[in-house]
Amino acid sequence: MSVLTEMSASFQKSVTHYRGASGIRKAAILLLSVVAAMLIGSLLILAVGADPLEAYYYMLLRPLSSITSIGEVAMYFTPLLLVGLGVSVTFHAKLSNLGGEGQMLFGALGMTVVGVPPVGSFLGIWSLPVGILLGILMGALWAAVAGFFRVRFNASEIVVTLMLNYIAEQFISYIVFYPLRSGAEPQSAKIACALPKIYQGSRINWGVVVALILAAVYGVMIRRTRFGYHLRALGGSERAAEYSGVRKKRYYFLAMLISGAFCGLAGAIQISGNTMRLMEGVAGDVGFSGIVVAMLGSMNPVGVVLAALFMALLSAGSVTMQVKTGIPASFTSVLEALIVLFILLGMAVSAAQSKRKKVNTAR
Amino acid sequence: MSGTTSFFSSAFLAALFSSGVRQSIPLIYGSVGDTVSERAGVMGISLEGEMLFGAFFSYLFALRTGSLWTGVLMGALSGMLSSLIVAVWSVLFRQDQSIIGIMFNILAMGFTNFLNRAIFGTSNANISIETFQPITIPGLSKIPLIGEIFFHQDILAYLSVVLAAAVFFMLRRTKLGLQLAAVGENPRAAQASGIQVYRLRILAYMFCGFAAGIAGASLTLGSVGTFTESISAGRGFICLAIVILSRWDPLAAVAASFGFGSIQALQIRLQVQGSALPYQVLVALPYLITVLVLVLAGHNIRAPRELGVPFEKESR
Repeated sequence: MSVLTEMSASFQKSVTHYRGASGIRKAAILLLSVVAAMLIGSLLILAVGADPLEAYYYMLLRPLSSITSIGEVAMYFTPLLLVGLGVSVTFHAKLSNLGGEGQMLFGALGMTVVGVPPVGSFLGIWSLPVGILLGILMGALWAAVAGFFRVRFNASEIVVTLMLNYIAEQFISYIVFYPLRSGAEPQSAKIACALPKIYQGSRINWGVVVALILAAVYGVMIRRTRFGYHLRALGGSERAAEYSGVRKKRYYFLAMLISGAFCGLAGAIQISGNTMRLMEGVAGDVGFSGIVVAMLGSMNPVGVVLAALFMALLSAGSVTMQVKTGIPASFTSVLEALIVLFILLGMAVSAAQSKRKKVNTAR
Repeated sequence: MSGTTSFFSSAFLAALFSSGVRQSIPLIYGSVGDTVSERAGVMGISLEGEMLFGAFFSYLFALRTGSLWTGVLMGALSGMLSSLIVAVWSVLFRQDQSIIGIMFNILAMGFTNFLNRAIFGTSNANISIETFQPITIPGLSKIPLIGEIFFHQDILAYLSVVLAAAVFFMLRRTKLGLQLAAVGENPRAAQASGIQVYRLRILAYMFCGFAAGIAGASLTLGSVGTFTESISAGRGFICLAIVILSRWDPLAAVAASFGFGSIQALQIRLQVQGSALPYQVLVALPYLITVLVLVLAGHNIRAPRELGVPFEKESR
């Protein structure tokens, strides 16, 4: 047995427990975790001499105040949701795809190579669907590298996906410095065709709708298909699943592949719906925040959508907050991490309680 | 830009491997710390974050007090205290170590960036401080090549080897080492024989955080002289690969760290000299090799049996 791979078992236990907890209890844990994290966050804000209420207003409410700023929220929401869904797929199968960042970059590259001249000018509007498909494919393939190493060599997908992020980052840097560079700045040319907007006067585009449809597809896939059933069986008990005929290696590989496809799409949409060109840091840490989204939404399709919305508000709002209050935008990472840590704490407490209850009733 | 002619000269090799030793210092501290905690069954995914804490606080305190040693101490303490979060969450609350580790790393990155901005403002040029100076070991430093490479280093380098040797001795020859192994291999049996599993696991993990804190300090106070955002740059994860490669042996970890450090030194040197390869290939090299190590060295190894698995006390 390889090394890091073993620990996933315990994770699944806690996640399964979380899934098993009643809806009200789960909602209570979530809410309390958010409140607790925000309280600790307030201390940090006070420490830098700013007003917590003002800061949280800029983070959570201000982004919803105008159609323009809602469009900005959507810019974050779409990739966060897609990566959150992708990461959730692997969580179901007892795997951890932490390489969303790198897979997004490859998805972005897929969109860019067919979007910029010469291919872009040849394909015209067709560069959009072709680019999106290529982005999905490239994201999936980059994740498949980690999946293959896990299945064939038992190399921990946790560390491999993280390392692949660094490698992808350098690869994209090379691409925009040399082959695809256009002009003085290290960035590609503008792509030929953008995702159409839903509403003029705001940046919101049809990428949001695509992402929401995929959330539904994800829900159906996990809950209503044989594939999803087997995936969850693997997550529940590896051995039981194998006895009942689930081919573990194939499912691990497929889970990584699908997860990468979601992240690749996120990258393709990041280019065609947001930045319009490839540059360094185009994934903007969404690959990591997507892990938080999956945890926060407890891999439930509706939960992941809500979690992505919450995180998108934080991300969009933190920019305004930094400008208006002087609080560094990295505050949001602290908040996100604290929320998940408190959720984990809540799960542990709730598990202990229900266990005690069982013991009592047994007496 | 004429690098190729002098490539294998002894002056080049001495400079290269001497810089390799410097690059390996944070890796040695990190991997030795992780060896101890993994022996006890707790995985150091959060090493990266603890290094960041160590790097930031060591720089901050060294800058404010003017004492490098105060900096190192505060860096180590901050690594240790922050590791307590991971230890409590994973050992006492028995939550998944990989998820806690990732969340902790996000927390550490956000928190150190937050403090860095809040304290030093947005300017990229933080104030540099005087770093640890190399100490020449009399006699040994006269050995050709070897002396120049290994015996003209700063104090943190020498201490890292001392630490590795001490941990090696502790694991092999002391009761504590046996107890740690018992806790990592079979916590139930360990508990039955009177070992306090939780306490030992938490202490082992705190040691890991302490070492990771020094690793961070060696980045800011040993080489760079300032703190930059995400300065650890994945070294925490590279340490995890080193621990696997060295089969949970601290002295082997020193050798493996030196290997990785030398690769890092080589890529920096090639960048400076101007290589035909684009610099991105060089920067990616250590990460590529880490993946390679995981793929090639992950076979047929025996990790501590209960590594990463939370232990639940028997209820009476």
